[in-house]
Amino acid sequence: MKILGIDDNTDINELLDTVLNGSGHEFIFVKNGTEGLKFIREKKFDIVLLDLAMPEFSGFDVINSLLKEGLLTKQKIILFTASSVLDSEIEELIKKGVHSCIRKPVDLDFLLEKLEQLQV
Amino acid sequence: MRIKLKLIIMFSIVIIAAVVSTSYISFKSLESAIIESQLRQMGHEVEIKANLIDNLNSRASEDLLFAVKNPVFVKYFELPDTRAGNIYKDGVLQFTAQQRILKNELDQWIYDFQNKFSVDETCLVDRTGQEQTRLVMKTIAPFSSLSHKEAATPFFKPSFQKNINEVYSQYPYVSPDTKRWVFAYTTPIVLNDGSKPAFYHFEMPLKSFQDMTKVDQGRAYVIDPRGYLIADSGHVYNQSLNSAPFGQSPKDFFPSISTISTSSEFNKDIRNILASSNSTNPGHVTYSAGGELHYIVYKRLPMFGWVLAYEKPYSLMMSDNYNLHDLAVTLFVISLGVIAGGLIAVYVLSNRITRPIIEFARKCRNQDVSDLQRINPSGKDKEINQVIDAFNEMIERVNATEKQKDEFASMVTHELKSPLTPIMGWCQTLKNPKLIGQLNNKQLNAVDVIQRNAKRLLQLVGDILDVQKLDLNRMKFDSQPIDVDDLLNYMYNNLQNVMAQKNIRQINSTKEQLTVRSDRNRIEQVLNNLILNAVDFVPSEGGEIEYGAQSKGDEVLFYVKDNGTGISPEKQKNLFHKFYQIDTSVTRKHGGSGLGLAISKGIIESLGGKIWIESELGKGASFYFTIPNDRTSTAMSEKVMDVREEAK
Repeated sequence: MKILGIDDNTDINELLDTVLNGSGHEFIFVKNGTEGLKFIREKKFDIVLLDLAMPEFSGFDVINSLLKEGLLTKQKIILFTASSVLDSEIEELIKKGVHSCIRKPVDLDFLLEKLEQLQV
Repeated sequence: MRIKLKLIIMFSIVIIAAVVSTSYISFKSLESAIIESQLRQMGHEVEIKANLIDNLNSRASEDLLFAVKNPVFVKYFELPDTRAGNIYKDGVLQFTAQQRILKNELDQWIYDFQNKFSVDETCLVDRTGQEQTRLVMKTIAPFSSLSHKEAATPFFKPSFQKNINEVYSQYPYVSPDTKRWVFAYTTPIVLNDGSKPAFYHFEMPLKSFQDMTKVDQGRAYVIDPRGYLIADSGHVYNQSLNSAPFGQSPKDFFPSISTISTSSEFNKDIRNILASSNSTNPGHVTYSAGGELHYIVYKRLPMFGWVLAYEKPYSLMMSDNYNLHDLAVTLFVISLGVIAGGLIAVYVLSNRITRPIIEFARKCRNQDVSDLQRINPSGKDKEINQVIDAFNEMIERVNATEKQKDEFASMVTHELKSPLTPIMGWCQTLKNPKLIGQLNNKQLNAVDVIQRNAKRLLQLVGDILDVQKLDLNRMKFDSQPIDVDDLLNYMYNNLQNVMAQKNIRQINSTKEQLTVRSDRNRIEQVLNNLILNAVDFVPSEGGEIEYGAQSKGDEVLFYVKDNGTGISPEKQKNLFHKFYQIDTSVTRKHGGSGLGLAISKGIIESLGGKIWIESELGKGASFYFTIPNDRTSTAMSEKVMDVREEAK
């Protein structure tokens, strides 16, 4: 699957790069929301793993922009976020069209299993 | 002290003081008005009596003078026989024929005169002290009884010192003829040549004067300058003095003023009155005796320096006056009314003052600590509203601070948690030979240690986050039908590794098929807490943990029992408190945060259930909790995944 990771944390990006590309997926990552938005506009991804808490252009901004442009449901956006974001906020985003949410830190086996499910 | 009580006491004092002082003033003013009017009345009566006495006195003098105006007196004494002196025969006065004619004329005149004017005795005394004629109680004395020793009488000398138309009054004495106290009026008989051969005299009974002191109420008396009571309405004078010597001292007959009162105040006052020369208007003095005040109205009489006094005690002055009594009753009733009304008003008022304060206190107490709200003022009392405003400002500041604290705590927790994602992820990746190559055993061991500690750190941060959420009432709960059997089997399978490692026998003793609508993840969390807790307490050999569920009315009762050391009742009390650890060394081994049971309690209570422990030292411990069917909350979106389990 073609997967885009948007996260300001390089350690996580590199981890996912190792794990996902090592598991037969095609994973690329960007380090901020602006760039991520550009990538989503230009290319087609099966799944976008989107971090919410990022400086300057956050995950919320990305979702709002996609919503405006009608691109939100074109690919499965999975929020990849820490527990500081409230459940209610996430529910709100899911109502808007976000696919689902995976809380950090994540069990890599679980992540792979989940991606497997989405591929079917 | 309560404000209400303070107000009631304060106002009660004010009301009672006002009522009492008003009553006292009204009572006193009426009392003094009554006394004043009584004194006026007494003064009036004293004036009347003084006038009566004065009239008696002046009438006696005038009549005496009128009597001697009859020319028969002069004619009688101008007779040469009379001038020559009378001749005694056997000690009895002899009269010549001419003398007899004139004497008869004299006697007739005197007799007529006595008929008109009540005098006890009249007599005519010549310069030698010889009585020329005498009438005693309207009876003409026989010659044989005419005295010739009248020169010894106290009025003999002063009578001759008087001129024509002048009257001498003699201080009372006991009359030897009438045998009673009298006082005498005399005037000289003056011939044409100015000589005074005799004086004419009549005696007034003291009784007629004493009778004038009679009063209906109180006591009237006449005091002479020496302090004797010449007349006294309160004293019965002996009027028949058979063996009374002439010129008897008043001391032996008249009571002294000390018989009225021995009070030194009274005696001093009376002496002052007697010594004073003021005689025009009635004056008054008071003295106290027998526990009450006595009022004396007095007036100086024109004769002998006597003072007429009229005395009434306070009770007598008031006795006729029902006004005062009525006023006292009225004042008492009104006072009671005013005090009662005042107290009711004070009670109502104080309630009004304190009610908003109590109301405010109640609202403060009912505040949810995790969600402090502004309090709306319920009244219009400025001061109390100021307090409420100040309180609201404080709440706002507290809320602002609280929000900052929450944000800070959430930020800290997040910051603590986010490095764990790459740490744990990379550990997992390192252990996967397919991804970045095979590690040797030592290296794998090191990764295990890192991974285990990272998990522990994650558990701690998670617990702190849970406590924070529970404290702030911000934990959200799912509401789904739970297959309890499935839940417990899942637990059993999950725990198998741990139990096997520690050589503990775990028993799922559930016998029923149960379903309950609640939050499965949270119940799992609680069961996990309790079971892992028990793991730390069972003996290293033969450890046994039994758990399961059974129905209990509408609820499901979960239990976790161990055969460990048990927990003493003292320790049970603190068991569910935050950061409480039964045995710190054990905790180190288990690596708990000390928050597990507090979180469990918070979760169970939030789900509407109860959690408790039954244990005895040495006999193991049993934890119980109930889960009711959730009927209120709506199901959360299924898409929201809780990753707590996933993270493990």
